[in-house]
Amino acid sequence: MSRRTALKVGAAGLIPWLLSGSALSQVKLGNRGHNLVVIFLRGGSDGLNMMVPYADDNYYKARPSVGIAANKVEKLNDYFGLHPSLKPFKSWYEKGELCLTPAVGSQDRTRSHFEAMLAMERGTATGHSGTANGWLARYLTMTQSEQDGPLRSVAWADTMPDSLQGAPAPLVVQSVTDFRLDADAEFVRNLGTMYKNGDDSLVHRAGELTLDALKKIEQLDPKNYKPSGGAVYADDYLGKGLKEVSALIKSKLGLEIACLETTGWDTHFAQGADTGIHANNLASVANNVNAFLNDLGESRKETTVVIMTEFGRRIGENASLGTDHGRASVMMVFNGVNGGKIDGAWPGIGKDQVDEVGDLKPVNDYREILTKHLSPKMPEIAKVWG
Amino acid sequence: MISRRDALLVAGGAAIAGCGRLATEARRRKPAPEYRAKPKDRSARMIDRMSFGWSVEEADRFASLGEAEYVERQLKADFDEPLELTIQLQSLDCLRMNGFELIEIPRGRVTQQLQSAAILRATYSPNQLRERLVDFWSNHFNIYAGKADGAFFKSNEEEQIIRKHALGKFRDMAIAMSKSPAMLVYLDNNQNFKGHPNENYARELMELHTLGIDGGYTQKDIQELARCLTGWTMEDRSIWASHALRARGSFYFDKSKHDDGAKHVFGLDLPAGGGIRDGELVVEHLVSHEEAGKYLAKKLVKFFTGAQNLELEKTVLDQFQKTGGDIPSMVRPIMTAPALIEGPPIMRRPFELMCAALRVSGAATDGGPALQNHLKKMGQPIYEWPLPDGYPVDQLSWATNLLPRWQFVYDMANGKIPNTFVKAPDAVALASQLAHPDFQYA
Repeated sequence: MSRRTALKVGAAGLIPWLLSGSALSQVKLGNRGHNLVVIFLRGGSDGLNMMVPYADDNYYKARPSVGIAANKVEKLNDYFGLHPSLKPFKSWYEKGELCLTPAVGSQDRTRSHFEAMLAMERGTATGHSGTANGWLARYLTMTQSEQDGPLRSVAWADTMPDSLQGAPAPLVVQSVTDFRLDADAEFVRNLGTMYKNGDDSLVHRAGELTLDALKKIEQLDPKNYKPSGGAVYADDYLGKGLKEVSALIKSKLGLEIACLETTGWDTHFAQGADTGIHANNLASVANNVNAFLNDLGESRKETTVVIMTEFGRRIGENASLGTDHGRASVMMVFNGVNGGKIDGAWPGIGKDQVDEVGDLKPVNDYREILTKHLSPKMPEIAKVWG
Repeated sequence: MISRRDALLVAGGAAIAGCGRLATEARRRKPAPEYRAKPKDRSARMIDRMSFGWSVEEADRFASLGEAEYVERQLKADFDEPLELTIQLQSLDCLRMNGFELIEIPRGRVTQQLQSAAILRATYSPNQLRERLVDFWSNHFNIYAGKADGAFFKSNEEEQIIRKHALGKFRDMAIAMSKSPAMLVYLDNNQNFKGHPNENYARELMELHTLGIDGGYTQKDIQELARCLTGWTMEDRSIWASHALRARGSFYFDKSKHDDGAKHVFGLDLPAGGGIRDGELVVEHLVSHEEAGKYLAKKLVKFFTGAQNLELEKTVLDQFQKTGGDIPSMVRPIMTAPALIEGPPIMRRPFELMCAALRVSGAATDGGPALQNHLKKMGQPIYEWPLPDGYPVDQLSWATNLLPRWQFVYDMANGKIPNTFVKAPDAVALASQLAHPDFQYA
């Protein structure tokens, strides 16, 4: 065996993907038999164009160019309809696996991306009103156990999302497929000596975690992973990421919480309506999440998928065919509770119903919605909010 | 068919690019610097905190000038640039051409060249403090080169606004920035018209560029400021007007799109009919406001010392107020404070880690795509952070993504990165040193 291949393991050690579709889908997943996937839409996705109040004249008056025509929406009831790009979600809604909540937000009133994201990722009322670590980090700390492996919480990102900051062992990867070290054995041994020396600093712990995760992931063979259920992922960040999440879940390597994030939602200019920038972004989410659910097959019922964003956008469009920062948007949860329902309160978008700036009121606090959906499988979640 | 002009451009470009390669080669052929371990002393700590990382050359410069003079020279940034660096930079189109000319070059190549320029300067310029501040301000006024024409205009912005004023006056930089095409495009102010203003730039101008989130402004102030800035836009194509070229991307004030009613913004009353002066008056008000001074003081102190330090922030704020936002006067107290070297370790961001590794190992590099690929994998492809707040500075954001750092230092030490050359007597020893937890920190 050459020094160069010292880190690679033989074919016998790899997860047999060809068997995985039938055999592995029967077994319980993750450490606690449940997985959570959080997809954060950074920039503030326009909830009013995700769940369109198509029966409300106020909507069309406020949005002469970015409004979605009533005959284009995927009707959910006699008031709300989904954006046409979200069509793949309609069948999950009808099957009772998707719950939609409109008018979700935090107490943040600054309408700053960064404050609103901090609030939602720290699990606090506003960006600087509580503790500095993340809501998922607190959950992971509360439920820590000896069995936790290095892949319990993984973010597909360039930098650690705030929701995981302070977690016991949060791993950040751009790609699991590329998560390997092409180096000779002496260098790898040195890394072990330098990072696994008992020092408890952040970077030492991160190094130790990385070395342990390398050992786990080398069993995965993600390049040869074949999705099941006819699932077709797009060749974009979200498609590649969700495919890897699925591979990790099926491989039972200990993944419990996966965080993904996409940008491009800050549509001040040329947002588009049933086509255009926002429509394309939504299509990527819908098609890739749809593929992910199909790929997981029956085991998707043990996987809760949350799609959230820091705020929604102003009801009235601006003069550059876009929308400015608002306060409330939509939260979509797959395989939580109340599947097949439109949940929470709806404050309305009439003149007397909006807030002082003209925004949809965030009458459904994001923490209450998350608790409702997650606590049946993750009872400690009720205690994480600051 | 290729025109005569194009043919000349191609030939000229190739000749110039060839010079850049020769400069890299010349640097490669220089004898390796004498190997010397970094001492654990005050001078090495200061260099690590002020610069993109300790090197033998930097240590010699520090030693020959002495601490006080070294700091003053860095604040003046008057060291001669090395010839190889100058030639390498001159070979880059993005530094020779204007934004509207760069549009003819593929966008990806422009971004690549921008990154090359930044890596080369941060690695080789003796004016290290200036380069750190360029990085600081470039993130402070972050734009995403991937949005619309951003990449083409970023180069001029970086040269003529950020680099020009990095050690000048904050107000000059921020005022110029308010009319910079890269920023107009990135935060949509080129699409801000009367009637229903686009609030994007107005918000970030207060929140990120001047006052900070705690600066005391309200949503109403943002909306009023957006009204002031209606009609601040740019040419979307090049035209001849009054015997002069008005190039694509030139700022202009479109009176017909400006909301000329009376406004009240953050304590300023602006009567109706102010035209372009509405926006200019507010920008001038914001850039010299005490809240801006507080916000900048906090950010600068954190950037260089790794921690909050109320006393030092107060000193920096005093300088901001006394000198009208003179950046060297604000930075000097930080460079001479005990907190500079006594503050907590600062986790190097990937760009800083990369330059520190190149510097300490005396590498010859073109700063090109092969190196940039590592920067991307480490998570910091500069000029490509999509949100307007710039790359994070805290260690929690970066500490858990170590694997691509290890691959980078290993590849660099082993000569596996094309156009990056290191003369290491023992590659594994060098790679291990650079992968060491300590080296991740300044």
